[in-house]
Amino acid sequence: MRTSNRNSTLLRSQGSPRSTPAILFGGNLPGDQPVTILRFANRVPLLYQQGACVITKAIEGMDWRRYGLEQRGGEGVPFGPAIILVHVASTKIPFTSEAKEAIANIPEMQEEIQLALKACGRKLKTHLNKRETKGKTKAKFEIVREILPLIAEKSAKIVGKDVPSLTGTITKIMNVVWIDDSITFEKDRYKVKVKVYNYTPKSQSFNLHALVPEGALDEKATVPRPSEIKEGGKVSWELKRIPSTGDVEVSFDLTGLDAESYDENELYASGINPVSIIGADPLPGDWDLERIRVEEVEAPAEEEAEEEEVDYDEQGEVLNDEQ
Amino acid sequence: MTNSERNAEAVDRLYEIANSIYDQISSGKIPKMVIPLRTKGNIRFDPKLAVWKYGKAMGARTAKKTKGAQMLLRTMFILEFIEDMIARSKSSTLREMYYISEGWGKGKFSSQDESNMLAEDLEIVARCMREDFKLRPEENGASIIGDLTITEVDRKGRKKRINCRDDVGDSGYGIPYNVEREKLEILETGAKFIIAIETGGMFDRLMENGFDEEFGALLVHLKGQPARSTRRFVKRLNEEMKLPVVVFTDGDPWSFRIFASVAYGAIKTAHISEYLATPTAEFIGITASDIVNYELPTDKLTDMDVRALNAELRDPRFNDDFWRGEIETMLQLGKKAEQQALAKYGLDYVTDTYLPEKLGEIGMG
Repeated sequence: MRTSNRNSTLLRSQGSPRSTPAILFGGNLPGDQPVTILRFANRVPLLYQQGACVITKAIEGMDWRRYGLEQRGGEGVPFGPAIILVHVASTKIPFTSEAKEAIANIPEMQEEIQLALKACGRKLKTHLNKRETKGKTKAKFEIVREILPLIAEKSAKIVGKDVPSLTGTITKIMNVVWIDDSITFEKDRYKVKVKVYNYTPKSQSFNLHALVPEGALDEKATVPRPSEIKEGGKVSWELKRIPSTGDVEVSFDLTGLDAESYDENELYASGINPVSIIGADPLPGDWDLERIRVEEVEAPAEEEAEEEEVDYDEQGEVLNDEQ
Repeated sequence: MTNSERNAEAVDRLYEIANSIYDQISSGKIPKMVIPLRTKGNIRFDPKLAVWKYGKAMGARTAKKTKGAQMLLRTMFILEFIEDMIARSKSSTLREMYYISEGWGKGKFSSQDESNMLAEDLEIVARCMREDFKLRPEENGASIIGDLTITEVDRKGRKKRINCRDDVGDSGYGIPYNVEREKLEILETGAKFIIAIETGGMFDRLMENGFDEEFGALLVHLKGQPARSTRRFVKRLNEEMKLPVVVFTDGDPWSFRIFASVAYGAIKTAHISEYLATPTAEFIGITASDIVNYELPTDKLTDMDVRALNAELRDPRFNDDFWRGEIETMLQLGKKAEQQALAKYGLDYVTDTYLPEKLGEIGMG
């Protein structure tokens, strides 16, 4: 199965041995249309009688709103930039007719498909949540990187004083470690840059990990030197004492991969409270840490209780009396 | 205060704003500006001034959010721009300021509404008028006709004596954007009252029918929602010449708001209501009851009209028996009518019958 857009995210459920769903989300898929349903039975695509098929019934009978798709009234085919693909494998498939165009609506079958779809949906939701958090942080990132320095510069110019240090303000607005990664492809190699900004009020030390395709890492082009490289493409760096509002860059090259085959970095962090870091996930349990010692870090201090304050620019009331 | 004193004071106040932002950043805080909320819910009737002013509810513009940060940055650019204009004795229109922001990068305005609003925010925070900042609106073409003599200082600095009936053409005397004493002096009038008219068509009708001379009226063309200078001029005539003011508009929800901004003060400019509003102004129509009583030709209320009427029911300025009655009647009818609908009964009906009757009702016939 492949789709024309490479940005789609394929989320596969381990689900039941009998039904395997997958949801492809995003890319250039239209967001205001019902999702496309692709049905398969024992590897054969089912092209006709979509409405009579248990796969369609299973999809229609679920509340997709909780998984981040739009759905009127919580039933029916959901809307959104997604393709839902379901494969049913079995020694006996209960087709509705000899033409083998649709699978009969057997309650156990529907339940089974829905269980697998829900597992898939949860992954979709996690992915969307992460994207949203990253989006919000990105907006703040722009404030502190681009707008705030200009405000400081202008105000200093007007009052005729030196440009003030932004450290305190920046860490109050962000209060996270922000990881901004990019991938470029040139001359048969992927160049990966991971920029780590410490926007917390304290200096930070932690471990950064990347999971790359096995054997693709060009060790010579890796800066700084990894603290550990393990089987299975597991690379780790020890990042020591990044000062408050300071940043470090980690870069590495991947070779021997096809163009368009690597489009998302898998980044993890350990030795830091997961809520203080945006852009890297907590290290999964199966990544056993041999040499790296993980220090438990105390949770960050509770955010200062914010005064109840109305946002002047977000009242949303139109003041014009004109038509 | 002279102009240059007012400008110097404006510079001081603007400096204070920049200084406050600077101090907040250098002490490591998230910079913010606290401004009274400019909403329907935050206007209060001031019994001493008899107009509606902003209440005590405050909102914060902070750099925590993208929008707030952008507005703060724009504020800094504007401060610099205004200081520069004052230093070089220049002035600019609000629209020019909007275009100048093209060069402000991240501080560029996305619409002129946004830059106008920010200029008003600065008036509020700095307790100045935008004229003190050397910002002026575009000419909006509102005009006045009738027996009124004024002197205006023209662009060459000469005082010109003008009678607004005898020395002007049929389009009347054009009200300039600055109607303060240094620019415009009111000398004398033979008129007994002012009639402020929403539409140009009706203004022309009253002029052609000689309403001003026959009834001793000054005709003021509001041109829709009136500009500040139009409201200020009407207010000055009301105060200095002791002329009562009546407002004659279409019969629709937007016209009710035109009256509200003339008589009570507009929500957008509630910080300067006492300069702009004429609390004794009376609404003479078209009322919803007129639509019924005079059997006027009507249009159906649009969805937007209905929403506007419902919003007015929640507007504290309309919270009295007369307005609640009118708004509810209009909602029930589902109809609105234009001033010019009176032409159903002939061109002279408005001046021969309708206005005398309506003026009689308020004891001015």
